[in-house]
Amino acid sequence: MPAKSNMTGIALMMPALIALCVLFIYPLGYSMLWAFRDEERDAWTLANFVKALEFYSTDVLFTVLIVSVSTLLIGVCSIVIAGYLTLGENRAAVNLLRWLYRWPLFIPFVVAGQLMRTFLAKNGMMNNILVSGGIIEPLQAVSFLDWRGIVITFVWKQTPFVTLLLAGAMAVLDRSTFEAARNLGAGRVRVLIQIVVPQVSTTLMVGLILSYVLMMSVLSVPLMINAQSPTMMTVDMAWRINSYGDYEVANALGFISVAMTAVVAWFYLRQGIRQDGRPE
Amino acid sequence: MPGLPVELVSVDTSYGNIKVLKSVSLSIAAGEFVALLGASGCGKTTLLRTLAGFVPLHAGRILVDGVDIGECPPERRNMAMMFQSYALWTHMNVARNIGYGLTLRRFDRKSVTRRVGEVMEMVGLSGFEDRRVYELSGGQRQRVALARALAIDPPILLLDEPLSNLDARIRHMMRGEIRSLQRKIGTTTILVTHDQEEAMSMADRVVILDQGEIIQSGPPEDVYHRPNSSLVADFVGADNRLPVNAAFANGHVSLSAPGLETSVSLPVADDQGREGVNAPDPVDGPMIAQFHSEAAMLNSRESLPKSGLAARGVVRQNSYLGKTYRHNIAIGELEFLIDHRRRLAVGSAVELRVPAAALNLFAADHSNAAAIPGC
Repeated sequence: MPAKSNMTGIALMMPALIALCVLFIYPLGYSMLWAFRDEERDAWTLANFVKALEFYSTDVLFTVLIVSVSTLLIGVCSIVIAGYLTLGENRAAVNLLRWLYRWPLFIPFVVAGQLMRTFLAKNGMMNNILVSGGIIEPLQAVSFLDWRGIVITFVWKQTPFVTLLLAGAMAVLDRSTFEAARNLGAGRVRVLIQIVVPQVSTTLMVGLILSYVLMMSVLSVPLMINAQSPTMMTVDMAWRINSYGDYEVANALGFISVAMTAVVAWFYLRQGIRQDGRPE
Repeated sequence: MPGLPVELVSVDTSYGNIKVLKSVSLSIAAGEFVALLGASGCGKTTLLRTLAGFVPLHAGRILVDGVDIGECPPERRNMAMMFQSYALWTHMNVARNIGYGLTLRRFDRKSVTRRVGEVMEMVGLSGFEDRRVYELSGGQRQRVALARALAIDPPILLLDEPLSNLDARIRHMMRGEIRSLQRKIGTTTILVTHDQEEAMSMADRVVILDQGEIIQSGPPEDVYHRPNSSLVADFVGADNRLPVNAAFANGHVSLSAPGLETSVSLPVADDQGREGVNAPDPVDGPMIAQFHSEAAMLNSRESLPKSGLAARGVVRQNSYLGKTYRHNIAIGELEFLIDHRRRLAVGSAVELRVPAAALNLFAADHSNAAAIPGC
């Protein structure tokens, strides 16, 4: 009976396992492996990595900085928004914010990139508003279509996603834990930082890690906002493939990207293991 | 810090269009222990939360030592509240939970450690400093919550059903411990509970609320023995009801009812301390006599009081309560719950007497009448 039950379990699992292997593990493994391949000499080599770092080490650093700064800002913005949604006392403002903050979730990255091009350009909407509001002179207007534009777009696009996770996690916390802190003398900002955020830190970390990995893979935003050097690694990979048909270096850049995301994935997995070991 | 006096003046609060507190006025002396007692939804927790600043005041004033704090946010009210769920922070250990209020008050690390040690010893938790909250039992968590509230040496302590999650043994023990701690430190304390025994055993004064209004306030003995309404009598456990005809004259009341052996004349209690029937609103005609299960006496072998209601009935059912047996006694169409120290056989005839001082007479209004079978 147990043997039959085991076989049924394996049979039920097989479709998912096959799909995972065929659609994910095989292409990833193949691509990773090909980063070490020199097709012309039909040999295994580290030359692709040497070439990738020789040409694109600045872009690797640029990518790390852009994604790290964006992740940090997404964290701060989502904590502020989710915190206000949870602790805000002005019901009208809370409801308005709850209605507004999710909009960017439904806008694709490519549209967000295009939208930011018109918004952040030297003669774009942002500078027009600042000039017409008398905040800056027309001569002071500068284009934000560089690293700042990419960061702004990423933060604008990903903050609602992390906020959605975070606000959900905050909503199920026992509100009396916030009230207990206020009762002892903590203001709302302190309650947010010292009481609320530590209780949802796992959700925050998951949201930020998923955003980090997603931003690492976005091509359209850096391509539309800042395609000149330095730029993000996704642009370099697209360039190597489309212009040179150079899959080896593109795969090496891909391998480096995976290594960078693996670092944050390790934190994520470590957190999961620690949580499982903790009694509820 | 010694306790401070608290005064609520015509306090109104609402949830949307629903008025929860209706012009509540209450004075609490410095160091007094007051219990707010009432059924679910009566407004007692809202009153406590209004005091703490978590529910906005719609009208009225809250004075602490003469200063109006009605508009102050919760963090500036300098009151410590102990929550029903304990509201402990699971990301902090026990010592950090208890010391949080002190850290907010910018105590240096050494003072925090010393004070945390003091209150932990006070509540019997020494040695638990580094434990995580989720490693503690319910009783230990309750002590941590109490220690956290006491650590800041608050002039006013608010307790929101602090014992409701504990088992009976620990609950009884904690009642005494909280009471003796409160006496020792002299903090003005306001307890919210729906357990009349808890309120009576802990508080100097019991305040009974119903539908957002205070319906009686006084020392536990007064509220228990001299309820001013049928509702309060019900709430303090005087839930045996006998419809009677009353005629008041010369400080006595003459009572007659279908189930009674004869018409009896009983003294009526007065403000000068004369013992007798409690009749806050004496009216001639139909009334309801209410009394506690343990106040009535059964069986003719015992020395029954000469003055009191007397009736003959039959035991319908009995149950063991530990210290006593509770009997369902049928008198005519009515049934009463009467305690007796020995089990009386089902079907046996018994004599029931209720002393005058144990009787409470209230007007037989529509709501009372509806609750009485056969009335």
